[in-house]
Amino acid sequence: MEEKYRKILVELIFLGLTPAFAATINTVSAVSMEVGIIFIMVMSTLTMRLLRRFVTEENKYFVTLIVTTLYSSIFQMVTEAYFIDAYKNIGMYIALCSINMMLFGVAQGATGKEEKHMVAKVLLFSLIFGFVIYFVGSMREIMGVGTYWGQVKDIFGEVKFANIPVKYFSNHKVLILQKAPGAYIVGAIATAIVAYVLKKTAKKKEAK
Amino acid sequence: MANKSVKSIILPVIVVILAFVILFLVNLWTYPLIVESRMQGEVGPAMDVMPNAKGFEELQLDNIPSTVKTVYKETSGQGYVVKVSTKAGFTKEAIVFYVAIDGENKVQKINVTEYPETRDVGDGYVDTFIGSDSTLSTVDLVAGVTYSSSAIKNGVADAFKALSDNSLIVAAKKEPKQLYEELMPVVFGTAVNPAGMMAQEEFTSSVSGVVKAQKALNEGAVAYWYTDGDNNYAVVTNGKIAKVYDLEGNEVSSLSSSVLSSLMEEAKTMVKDNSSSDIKRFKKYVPSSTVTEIDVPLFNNVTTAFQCVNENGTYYGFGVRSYAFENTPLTMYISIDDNGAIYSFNCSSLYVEPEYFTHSEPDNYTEGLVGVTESWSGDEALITGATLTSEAVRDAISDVFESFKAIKGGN
Repeated sequence: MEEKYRKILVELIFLGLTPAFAATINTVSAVSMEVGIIFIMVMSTLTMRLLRRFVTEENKYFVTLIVTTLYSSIFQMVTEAYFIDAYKNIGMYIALCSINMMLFGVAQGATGKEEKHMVAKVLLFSLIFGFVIYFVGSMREIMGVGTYWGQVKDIFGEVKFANIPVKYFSNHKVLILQKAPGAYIVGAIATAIVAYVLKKTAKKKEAK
Repeated sequence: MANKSVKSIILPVIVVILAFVILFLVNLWTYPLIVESRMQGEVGPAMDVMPNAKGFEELQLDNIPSTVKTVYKETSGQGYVVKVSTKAGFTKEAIVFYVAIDGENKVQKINVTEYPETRDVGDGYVDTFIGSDSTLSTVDLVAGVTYSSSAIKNGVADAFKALSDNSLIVAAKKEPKQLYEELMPVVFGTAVNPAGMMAQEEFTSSVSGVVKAQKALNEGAVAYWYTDGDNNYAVVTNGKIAKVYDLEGNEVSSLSSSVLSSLMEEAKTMVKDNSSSDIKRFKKYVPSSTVTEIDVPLFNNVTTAFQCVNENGTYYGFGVRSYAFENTPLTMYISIDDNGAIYSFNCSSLYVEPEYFTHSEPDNYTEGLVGVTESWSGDEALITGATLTSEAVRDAISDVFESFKAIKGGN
């Protein structure tokens, strides 16, 4: 990954985390949110990339807003139509993604004419972001509720990995993790892990 | 410059129009699915109990039992689905279930969606309701899980009541046996525990015409189901007083006096006479008093009643035998002053198991009940960890106030 993106990656994660935190109270919600963010981010970036020749300084914010709102709405409607149980967890927060600073900033940045392989970079970034919110959702569910993949059967029916009990935490729940401060605590830890990994890979690259 | 200005305006307009068109198409595609999903979310549990339903319409009904939360009518005439939420189980947390009642006014299926009780009623219990009409005469309670199974049975009865009271179904006619059994908790309070369940045992009566004879476990009174061929009667008596009802619960006087005398004579032999022992108690609890036994025209857990007169005034002593853990009678001696406040409270059994009192000593508990009047909430009697025993105490005090009121002439 290019150095300029490494430097801003951690900041971008923080920009995007706020609405994601509200939805990541368990693993299933986190994965649902992750899928939504990947879809909106990649499709918005691709669309803005296609429109970059026609975007001007005067209209770029407006056009970016329309594009992110369009894909947020599509994802929201499709989720409500096919996965209503997942929609109940994250529906309201998908709508907020249209003005999510991370999504908005990344889509708007795709209009830069000098950028190359932008969609691939955004896909990679969204997967890293997805890891962060997956980690947040999983930790909050395991330590806050005492289960793992607790709600998956509501969406996909009976599957083998549904509602795995975590015995120790079933009896010793860390209740704060189910509240907003808990989300920030786990989110900060996850982001720190990402920053550490990035730093290590940067050092390896420099060494080469 | 002009070119740039045109670009600045045209692109956003095109993007907005395109976005509008795309969203319109996506909406056309997803709207029916969203409506169906929302419908499924609301009536999904109803569909589970009536899988062949074409659709449901929620009904707004008046005068329905508080346990009935939602009533759905199946749109093609297959029947009704009722959502019931009852807190009458052992844990007092909500047991929620859906019951489907078909076009023949019989239970088609029951699905329990929330069950917070500590003991399971068993997978097959709800299946015993299938095919039953509003009488639920074929449904029994589950031994060892009486509270929870009774809560479910009464909830199903409430579902039927909601529909029949609103003329949506015709309630089935109950057999005399069922009418009698349903009447007993209402009129035979001497044999009713704090949870509203019967605490009684059957015996064989020597009086001709008696179909069923029951004795309260506290030996305070007996009840008979008597029939003379044409009429059915429920008779409750302690040998001193008697009350006669028809199976609808109306007090009647049409029972032959000779039959009534025979029943009362037999009742005297079945009921334990605690008068002499209780008199001694109240002479101690209301010092220096003249104690005279009086009759209470009620059948609750009060088994003896006395008027105690001393220089300080008139007091009323009640020997109460309510039901605690496993329906064991718990004997209490409660006296009330003439103003209706508890003067003394004594119960020797409470001292036997001091581990119940984790938050107070037995003495503090009983002394805390002195001065309580009829307006009390009942919460003063409850002890965490000793629910059944403390509910027996609460029940006893409530029965004492009820008896005091009856003696004083109010009702």
